[in-house]
Amino acid sequence: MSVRAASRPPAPLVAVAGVAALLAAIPLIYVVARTGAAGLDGIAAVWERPRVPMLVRNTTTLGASVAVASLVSGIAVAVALTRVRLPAPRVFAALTALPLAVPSYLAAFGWLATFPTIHGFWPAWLVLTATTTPYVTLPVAASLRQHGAAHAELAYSLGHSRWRVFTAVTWPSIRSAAFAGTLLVFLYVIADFGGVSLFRYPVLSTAIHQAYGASFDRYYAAVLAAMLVLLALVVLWSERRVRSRHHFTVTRTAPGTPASSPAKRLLAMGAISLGPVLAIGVPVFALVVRLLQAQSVRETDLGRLTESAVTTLTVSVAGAVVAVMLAIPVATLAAKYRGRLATLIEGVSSLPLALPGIVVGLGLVYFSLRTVPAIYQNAVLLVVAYGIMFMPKAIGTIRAAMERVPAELENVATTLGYRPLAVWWKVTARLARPAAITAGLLVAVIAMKELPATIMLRPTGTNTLAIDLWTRTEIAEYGAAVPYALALLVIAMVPAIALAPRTPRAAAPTP
Amino acid sequence: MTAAPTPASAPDHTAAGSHAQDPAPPVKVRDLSVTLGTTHVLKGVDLDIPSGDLGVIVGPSGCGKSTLLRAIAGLRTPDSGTITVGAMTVDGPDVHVPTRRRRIGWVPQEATLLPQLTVGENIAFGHEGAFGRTKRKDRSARQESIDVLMEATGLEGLHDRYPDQLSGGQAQRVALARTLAARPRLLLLDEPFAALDPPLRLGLRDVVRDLLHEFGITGIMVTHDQEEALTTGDVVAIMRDGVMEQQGAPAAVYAHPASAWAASFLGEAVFLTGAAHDGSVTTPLGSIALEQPVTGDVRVVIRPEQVVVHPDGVMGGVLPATVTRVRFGGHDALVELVAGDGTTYLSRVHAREVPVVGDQVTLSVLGDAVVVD
Repeated sequence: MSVRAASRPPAPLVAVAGVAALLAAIPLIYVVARTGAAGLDGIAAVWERPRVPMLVRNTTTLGASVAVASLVSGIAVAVALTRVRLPAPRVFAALTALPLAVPSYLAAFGWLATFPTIHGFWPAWLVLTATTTPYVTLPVAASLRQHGAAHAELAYSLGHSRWRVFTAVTWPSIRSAAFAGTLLVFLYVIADFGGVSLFRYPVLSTAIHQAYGASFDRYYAAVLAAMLVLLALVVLWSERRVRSRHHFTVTRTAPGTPASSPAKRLLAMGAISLGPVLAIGVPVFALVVRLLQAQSVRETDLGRLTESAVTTLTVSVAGAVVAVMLAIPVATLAAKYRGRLATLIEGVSSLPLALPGIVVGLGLVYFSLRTVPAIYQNAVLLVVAYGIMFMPKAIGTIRAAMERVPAELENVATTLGYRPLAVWWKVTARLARPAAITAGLLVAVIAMKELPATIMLRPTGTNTLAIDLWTRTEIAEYGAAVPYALALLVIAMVPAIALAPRTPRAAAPTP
Repeated sequence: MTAAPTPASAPDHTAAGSHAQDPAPPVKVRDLSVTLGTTHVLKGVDLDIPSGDLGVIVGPSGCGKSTLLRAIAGLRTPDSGTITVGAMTVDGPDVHVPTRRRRIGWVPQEATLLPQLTVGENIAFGHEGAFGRTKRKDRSARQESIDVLMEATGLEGLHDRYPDQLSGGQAQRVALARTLAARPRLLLLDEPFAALDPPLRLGLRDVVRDLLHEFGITGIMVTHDQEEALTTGDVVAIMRDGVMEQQGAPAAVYAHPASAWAASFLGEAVFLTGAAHDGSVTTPLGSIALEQPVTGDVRVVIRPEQVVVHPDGVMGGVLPATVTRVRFGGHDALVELVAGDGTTYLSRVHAREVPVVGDQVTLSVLGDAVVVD
C-alpha cells in the first residue's frame, strides 16, 4: 500500500500544494496580465522613452560586473578557506558567510554615512560585490570540501603543473557550484533596490518604484517589471544550459591539511577578510562613530523606535508562519512523490526565487486592486507577500529534512496499521519539525530586513525598521538613522552566526 | 646508485610500451617522522623495498600506513628523516622534491577519475602529466601507448566510456592505467582494492603484480588485510601506532614474528610458557626447539598449523585435550581444544581430518617456536 502511495500523491495533498503554487504565481500573473493589457503599442511606447534603454543597460551592466567580480573573489576566498591551514578556521568560515546577512541598503548606509558624496556605479558595484560574494564562496567551499584534495593530489602525482591542475581538476569540480552561486548573485543584483537607490544609480528596480509612485502611466511600471523578470528568466535559463552533467564523486578526505607557509596564510586571511570588512566593517565603523556623537542619541525617538521594532517583529513572524504553512504541503509532495504534477507544483512554487521584491510588491498591488480592494494597504497583504516571497526558501529546508526521513520508517509505520495521514503526522512531519522551525526563523529574519515590497505594500503610517532607516538615509539624516541601522545589524547577525557552515577539516586530524 | 639525481627527465614517449627505461629503483625510508596537527602520526619509521619488488605495508587503521605512503608521494611533508627512491633523495634535510617532479605513481582507494573525461582521455591525462601536451604529429604514438596500457589492464573496448558508466573494478583499472601512462618508476597503491568484491580483488591483485614486472616498476601497497599482505607482497612491513613493527619476506614474518602483537596480527597464534635451556623450551606440549639461545622462563609463540591433533588411540600425542569448537573453512579447519588444566589450544587441521566437538585427543608440536615478550 505504501509503495502504491509513493507513486501517486493523494488528491487532498495535491490540492493544498496546488493552492500554494497558485499563490506563488499570482504576482507574476498580474504583472504579465497588466503588461499584456498595455498591448504591443504600449510596450513599444515604453521602450521609446529616453531613459528605458539606459535603465536596461545599467541593470545588466551592474548585474554582470558584480557577478563576474563575485565569481572571481568567491573562488579565491573558497580556496583560501579550504586549502590553507588557518588559525581559528571556524571564525574565518563564519566570517565569509557574514556579509550575506547584511542587506545592501545597510551596507550602503555605512558607506554614505562615512563618505556622504559617493554615488553612481562604482560604489554600488563595490558594496554589492562585497555583500554577494558569499553566494559563490559557500557552494564552492562546500564542493571543495566534499571532494577533498584527492583529485588534485592525484594530478600532482602524475606530474601536472598547478595551473593545469586548476583547469583540469579543480575548475570542473567546482564549476556547477560556482555558476549556481553566480546566478544567485546576478538575480540578487538586478533585484536590488535599497543599495542602488541610496547610491542613486538608476536601474529597472528603482525606476519601477518611481513609476509606481508617479502613476501618470498605468502600464509603465508593469512593462518595466516584465522586462526585469524576463532578464532574470533569460539568465536562469542560460545557467541551466551550462550546467555540467558529469559529477565528481565524493572522495574520502585525507587526514590533515598540509601546513602552509606564513606568507600564504597571511594572503589567505587577507582575501577572506576583505569582503566582510567592506560589507560589515565599514557600516559598523560608521555606526560606532555616529553613536559617539551624542547628538544622534538625543535625536532618537525611543517611542518611535519601539513601535517600529514591534511592527517589524509582528509582520515578519506572521509572514514566516504563512511561508512555512505554504511550504509544508509543497515540500511533502516534492520529497515523497515523483511525477510531472509534483515537479510542476514545486517548480511554480519556486518562482518567487527569481522575482525581485519590487515585482512581487507590484504584482500584489495589481492583484488586490482587481480582486479584493479591502486588503490593499492592509497589513494582511504585506504578510501574504512575505509568505509568497520566502516560501521557496522554506520549501528547500523542509524538503531536504523530509527526504532524509527513511522510507523504511514510513513503511514500518504503515505495517503497524497507521493511515497515510497518520504516518505523515507521526513520522515524516515529526522528524521534519526542527527543520520547519529553523526555516521559519530564517524567513522571519530575512523578512525583517525586506525593503522594496514593504515600501509598496505597507499600510500608510506603518513603519518597519528597514523603512525607517531607508527614509532617513534618503534625506541624508544619517544621525537619526543610526538606531534603526543598529537594530537591523543586530537582527542580521544572529542567524549568520548561528547558521555558519561547520568545517569538518578544521577539526583535529584523525591519523 | 652512482648516477647523479636526475628529476623526471621526460623520456621519449615513442618508447612507451618498450621496456627500455631506467631500472626499477629501490626505496629507502630512514627515521621518518610526520606530524599532522598535534598528532605524531609517524615516529621514526624505516622501510626498505628492494628494486622491482612489491612491498606491502599492513597495520590496523590509524597506524600511519597511509600517511607513510603520502609522504613517499610528496603529499605530506615530513618533520625529519629521509626518503630515497633509487639514486634520488626526494625528502631529506633541506630537500623536498614537489610531488609533481617525483615520477611516483599513486593509486588511491577511490579511482578518482575525472568525470568530464572519457576512459581514453583520463589515461591521456596521466600521459600528459609526465610528457606534456602531445603535439599533433605525436598523437598516434601516444594513442598507441594508451592502447598498450588499456590492453594490459583489460580495458579493451571501453575507450569512449565515461567514468559513471564503469563498474568499480573497471574504474580501478582505469586509475591504474592512467597512473602507468605517466611512466612512474615507483607505484604507490593506497588500499586500491578495499572497495571491491573479493573475486575482483583477487583478479586485480594479480594484474598489478604482472604489470609491475612487465613495466619494471617497484611497488608499495597499503592494506589493513593481513591475508592480502601475506599473499601479495614480496616484502611485508607491519606498522603499529606510527612505528615499524617488523619487515621481511611474508613467510619469514609469519614464522618469526618480532612480538606477541605481530604474531597475533598476522594470524592465529598459540602462546606457550615454559623453561628454556640448551636451545629448546619445555612446554605442556613437550619440548620445542628454539632459534634464540635463551635460558630461563620464557613465553613462546607457535602457529596452529604446528599443533598436531592425534585421534584417541593413535600414538604420538603428548598432551590429552578435548575438542570444544570446530571452525570449518573448506580447505582446512581451525580446532579449539581444552587441556585438563583448562588451557585453550588452537590447531589447524586438514579438511579430511576434522575432529568432532567432544572428541578426546592428544596434541603434539611440529617445528620451531619463537620467543616473544
